[in-house]
Amino acid sequence: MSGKLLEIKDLHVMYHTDLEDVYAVNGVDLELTTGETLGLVGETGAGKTTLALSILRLLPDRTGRITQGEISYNGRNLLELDKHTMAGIRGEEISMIFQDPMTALNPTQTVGQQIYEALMLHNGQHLSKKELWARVDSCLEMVGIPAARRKEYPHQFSGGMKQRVVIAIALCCEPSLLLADEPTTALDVTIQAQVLMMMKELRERLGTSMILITHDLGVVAQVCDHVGVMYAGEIIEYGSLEDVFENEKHHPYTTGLFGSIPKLDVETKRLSPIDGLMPDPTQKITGCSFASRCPHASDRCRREKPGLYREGNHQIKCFLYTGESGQEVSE
Amino acid sequence: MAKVRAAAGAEKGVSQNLEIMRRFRKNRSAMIGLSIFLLICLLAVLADVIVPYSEAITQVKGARLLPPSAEHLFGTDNLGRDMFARVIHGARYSIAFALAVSACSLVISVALGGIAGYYGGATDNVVMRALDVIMCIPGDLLALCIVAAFGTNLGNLLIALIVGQVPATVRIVRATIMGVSSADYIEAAQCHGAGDARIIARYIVPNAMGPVIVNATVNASRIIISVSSLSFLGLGIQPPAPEWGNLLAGAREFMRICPWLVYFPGLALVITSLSINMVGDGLRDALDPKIRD
Amino acid sequence: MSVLIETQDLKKYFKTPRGWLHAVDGIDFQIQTGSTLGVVGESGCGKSTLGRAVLRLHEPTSGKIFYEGKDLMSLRKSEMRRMCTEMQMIFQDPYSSLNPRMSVWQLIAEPMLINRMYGGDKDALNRHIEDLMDTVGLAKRLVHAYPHELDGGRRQRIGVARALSLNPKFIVCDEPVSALDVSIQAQILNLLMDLQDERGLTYMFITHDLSVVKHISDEIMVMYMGKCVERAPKGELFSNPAHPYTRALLRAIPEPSLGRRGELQVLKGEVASPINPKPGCRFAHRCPYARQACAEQEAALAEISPAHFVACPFCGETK
Repeated sequence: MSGKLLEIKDLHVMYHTDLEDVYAVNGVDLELTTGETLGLVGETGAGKTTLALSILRLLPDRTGRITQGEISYNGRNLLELDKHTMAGIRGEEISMIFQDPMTALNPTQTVGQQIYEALMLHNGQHLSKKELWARVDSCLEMVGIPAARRKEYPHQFSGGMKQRVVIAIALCCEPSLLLADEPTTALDVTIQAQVLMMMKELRERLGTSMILITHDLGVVAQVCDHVGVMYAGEIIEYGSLEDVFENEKHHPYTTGLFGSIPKLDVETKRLSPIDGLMPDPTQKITGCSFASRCPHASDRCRREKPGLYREGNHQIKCFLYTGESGQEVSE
Repeated sequence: MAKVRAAAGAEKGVSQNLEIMRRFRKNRSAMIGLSIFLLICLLAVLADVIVPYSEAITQVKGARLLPPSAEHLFGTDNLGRDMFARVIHGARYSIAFALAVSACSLVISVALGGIAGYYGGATDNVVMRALDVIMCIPGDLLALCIVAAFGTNLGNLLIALIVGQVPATVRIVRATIMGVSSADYIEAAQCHGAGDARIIARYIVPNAMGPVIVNATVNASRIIISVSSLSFLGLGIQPPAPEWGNLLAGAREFMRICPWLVYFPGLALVITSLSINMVGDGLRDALDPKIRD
Repeated sequence: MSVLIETQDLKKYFKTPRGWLHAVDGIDFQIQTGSTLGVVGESGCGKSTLGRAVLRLHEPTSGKIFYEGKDLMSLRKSEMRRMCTEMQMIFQDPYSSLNPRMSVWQLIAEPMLINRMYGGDKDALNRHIEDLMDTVGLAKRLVHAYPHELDGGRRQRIGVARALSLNPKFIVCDEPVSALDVSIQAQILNLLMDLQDERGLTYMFITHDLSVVKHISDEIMVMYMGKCVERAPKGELFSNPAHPYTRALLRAIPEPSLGRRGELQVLKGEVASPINPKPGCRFAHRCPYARQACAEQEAALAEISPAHFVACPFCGETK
């Protein structure tokens, strides 16, 4: 593996409205090396999408605010760039795929025009019109759509095909980082399998790094190298696929998440879900954010934030492993 | 973010109506609009207390075309009538008319649109095609024709304006009701054995009323203008009764020398219609769950 | 055990400008009292329409439905409405299936008020509502809350309480957990299974999620474009999937374990239009084993082993 592509340090994001402040991301540290695929798993409201939007600086202008932290991409702090430079990075170096392919495309333009436009906006090599259209064709073929269909409008495509077009737009400028926000959630299983396999192959071919946001642990197991489990705006567990799926030590939330999914290969009479609900994100939480739902919670968990337990690359934010001292422990 | 507040306020049981009111109250321009409109209504209601009606129609020979002064706040017109009294009493006609037309056309539209939207099919076709025919003629023009043909009196004016309003409103009611009728909770109610009457009364009407009321509000401001336009053309409320439109019409000849004759009724018209529009916009925003704080 | 509900050649077609949409095209099933039939399929396969057709929320185009031996299709509308005390439904979207203008109390009371369950006895009604809220795990303090103030899990609990309020024997669950997060989903699934144990309920459980359907069902029916392609007890279906579509579906699920990483089988093509479908097997154009005969004649369901029905005459050869 080569160097660090993206490094996020102690990121805090909040949404500020007339009524309340919502603490969406509360101190996220994250590293992504070139060529790596990181899966971010978590439930609704865990702050996954907010994190991705912060990287692109696409948080809603009026309400969203990064209050603290640093996001460095290739050594440059993205939070300090001016609007113009940032716009250049978006799409060209970092691009994003949104969840709903139905609304991500402009219904009044042909899919070819939409890819063409993306290419033209980032036309650093000053390609001619003809060369650009040739690129459009190759982009479509790359995602498994015959080039002849470039003259068709989005409504003529099925859901899976639209998501392919969205992916083609995201990848046409060969970005080095792709943020995919639930790219297959809106699709059927058989179509999801098609799209996942295609994304995997493209990523290997183009060498794109990817952050895949999903709530589906199965998708993560299929596609990712590393996993970050998010809960209430924090990454409470991080590690390689093996660490998170097979290691003995887990954050109680991760254990709960796995216990909630009915398994195909194991027969279980009852699921073991996590009791209760996510904490109210308008309140600042002292102590561990999971304490209110955790079967192992002690007074201390409610009082102070747990440190990070490390074992190789595997990180868990929980007092169960950090030991009595509360310091960072490594073995 | 809706869900977020959800958890916090759940025990209080804030009904959707209260929630809408809270959001409306937070909207500054809507509140300004509402205050202005209420003030104008108050002036209209208390018109007799403020200035007796006689002042508005009594012609004073010695006091023609006087500019605004302490005695005649808005000046006097070419027949020596006090403009202040005429504008204040004119508000009665304009507002009463707008409310009456709005209310009548709302009732008719809800009935027609409701039938068309809920039953659909052939019923829908008959109602809508008939209204399409009326829609072919611009509302104001139609009103003009009706008044011109049947004579200018208040009853005909009322009917003319209602006929002009109804088709567009029916369309909105129908679309809203069709949207609400296909909601899952209607299916759930059917599943629990609810009959048509209960579904209409407890599910469709309460959920469809919002957009319909917004529409009626915005329409009211247009009706004020319509009434005035007709009066301006001499087909609406007849002088000597003061109405903003006929005040403007009467002032036409003296506009150059006595501009206040145009300013005050014109301003009253603009402010009233603007304030109603502001209320309408505020209501629309407050009712739209997609626009969230 | 006895059969609680049964359909025979149930069909529901919708008229569209382009022709007849065959949403449900000749479905037969039987559900034993106290058991669960899982219905799986991808979006547009007609599984939700089937659930609604069984309750006559969508009037079936043809076919028969028997509930405890009674022919439901012969009932008049008003008689059918009274059947709601026997058969209920839990809806997919806990956001849109609750009238936003009603409080939790009103929502749960509504079915009982409609059916005049307690007449004027308000105390008994209140007691029943409290019991129901307790049963489904809703805190009593929420009784005056409105749906927009609650999260998806709690709203779905209201949906369950409403379905239970008339003490039905049969409940159609239309994707009751697909709109919920995994941890909440597990809470609701546990609740539904506990209720079945306590009250002997019979479920028809509609979902697109194979792991959920495996968890909750006794028997599973796989649907493709309005047709049942395979029906079998769940153990048999998962250990011995026979229809090529079932097999493809099983291999397309990304499993949350590393054992089968990178083995997602990709099924080519997409679902064809259900409007005026071509004759022959509906899966033929995507089937890796399709042959001439498949496009020509429709495959009937055949019992290949006890209680295991498959609509593919060649399934024995393609394993």
